[in-house]
Amino acid sequence: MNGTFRQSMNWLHTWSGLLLSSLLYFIFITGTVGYFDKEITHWMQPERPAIDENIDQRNILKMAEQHLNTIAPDAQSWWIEFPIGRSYSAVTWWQESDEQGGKWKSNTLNLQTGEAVITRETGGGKTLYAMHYLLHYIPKTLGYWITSLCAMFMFIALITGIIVHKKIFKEFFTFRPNKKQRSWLDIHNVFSVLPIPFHLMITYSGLVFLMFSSMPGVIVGSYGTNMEKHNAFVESVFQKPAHPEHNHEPANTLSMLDLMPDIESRWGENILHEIGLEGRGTAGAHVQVKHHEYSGISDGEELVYHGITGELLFDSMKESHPQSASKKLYTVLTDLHEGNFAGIALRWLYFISGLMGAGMIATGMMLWAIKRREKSQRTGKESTGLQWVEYSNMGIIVGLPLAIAVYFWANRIIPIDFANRENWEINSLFITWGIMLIAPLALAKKYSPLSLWIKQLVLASALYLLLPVLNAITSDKNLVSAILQGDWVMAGFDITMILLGLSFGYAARRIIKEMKTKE
Amino acid sequence: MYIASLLVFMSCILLSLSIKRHYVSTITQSKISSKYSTMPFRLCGFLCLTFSFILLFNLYDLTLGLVYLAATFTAASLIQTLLLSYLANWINKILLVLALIIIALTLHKKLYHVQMLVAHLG
Repeated sequence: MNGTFRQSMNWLHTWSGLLLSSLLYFIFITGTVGYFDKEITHWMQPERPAIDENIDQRNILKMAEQHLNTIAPDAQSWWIEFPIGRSYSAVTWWQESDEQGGKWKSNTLNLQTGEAVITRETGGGKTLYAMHYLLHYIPKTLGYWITSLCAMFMFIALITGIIVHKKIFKEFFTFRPNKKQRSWLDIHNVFSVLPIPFHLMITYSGLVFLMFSSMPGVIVGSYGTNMEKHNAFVESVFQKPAHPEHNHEPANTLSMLDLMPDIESRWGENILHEIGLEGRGTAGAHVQVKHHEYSGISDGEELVYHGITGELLFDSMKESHPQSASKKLYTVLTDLHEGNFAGIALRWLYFISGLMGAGMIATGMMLWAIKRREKSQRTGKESTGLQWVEYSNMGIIVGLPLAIAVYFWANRIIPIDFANRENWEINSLFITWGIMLIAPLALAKKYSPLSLWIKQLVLASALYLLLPVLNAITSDKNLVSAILQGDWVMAGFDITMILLGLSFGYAARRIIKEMKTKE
Repeated sequence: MYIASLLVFMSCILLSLSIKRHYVSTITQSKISSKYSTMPFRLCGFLCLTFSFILLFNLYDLTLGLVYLAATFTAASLIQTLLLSYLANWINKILLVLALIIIALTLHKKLYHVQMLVAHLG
């Protein structure tokens, strides 16, 4: 790192961006896919009944309580999620008693029969989403640390990138195709500069999100090291609305259905997102009710009732908990990061910005290799390290989306009663990614780099294009029936897969053309 | 929301035309005559952006309005970049069509409000 300030920043930009680029690419891709986690899960569990938002929520609640009474009479908590907004099914959740292990379990309800639907075990979209901050196969805390480190490198790369970009406004909207290295730099700038507010927000909020894990010294310094004090910190930071005092004395809790007239008189009918009864069978029981609409970017309204008397304890519209400025900032940043408030249009815009982020990292990786390749061609010196980077770029950039396609294929191919099928779905993703990383190196002597790119792109294209066909063969749902039934989540997934397949196919076609021109 | 998104797209087109490189490739096809020739595009571009922000602010609130503005601007500027790279000749026509659609949508909305008002008074 020497020379002028801008040169130093350029050096820092290159290396901070490049060192953890493959991990950053993984984080961006899985995080972006995560914006549609619920829609992906809906596709990955085709047994779920078709979406029906027209059923009265009182009937659903009655059905759900009956169902929970039968299968989880001793549970300490019951929750019911209604099919509204981005919740595509009625789902019951319950937490087993401490003696039974305290685990959370869930069932999807068939609203015609009131019975539980037997759905396949799957990681769904949630596992893909969780991978962007937990990674996989490693302890949770280590995952948080690595992700934080990546976010820190990314943030440095972004800031230094802004500094080194001399013509940030002059070259706004500029992409000059077919100009070799110039085109790569242009597209890298397009993917970086146009969504810069998103990149800065997502990276900084990601750092803030994980600050309790990445900077534990601050908490330890003020609260000490033992668990009790740590819990006191968590309680003071994440204050909950007024709940009755913890009281484990046995008591008869009321039915959540009894509270519906009061809830509907406040909010109207069929607007609930979730309702939950915590501390069942004890004097400290309380019912939490959540509105399905968001208030700006924050969570929507919430009510808390006493679980024995039915008295209203908390109304988020009337009372607001006192929040410090730092807590407010933390909430705003984390809300912006997760984008839970986003409707379908904004969610797609988040998705596009996320893909542009992944594109920025991918083009950065390509640019580094292309610059060095041109230099090595000029000097006539062949570097093994450069070759290794070029081949690993193939495995990372195309290999990861290809592996995600295999994850979806595994969901339909692995037998439903297969032991640990959820884990094997994920294993299939990482095994495929591993193969895609190794394959270019193993086949390097037999094929040229361009033809290896083509092979991976064609394979990715075929896998994505055939996913709707696989869906039609292995389930009772398909693209046409989904459109006819108005199941736009199912149809949207299939259409997106076709578009992705076509994009990979187009990229392969462009490289084939380039190869022919060279010949 | 539709009008605001279209206004953002229009502002992207106008702002891109206020940049010398794109002005030359789209409007004149020759050297730029005066440094002030791109100024009206810049002014109109920022005006459209301000209007769209006001619309989004009225529709949502400040925070959500800003999120929508940034997100739509990102998507619109990506489309505009691709248009400038591959279909630069179409931009004038697209600009005209966009302006007509925005006017039509706004008039339709205004007409709806007038109809509602008449119905209310009636």
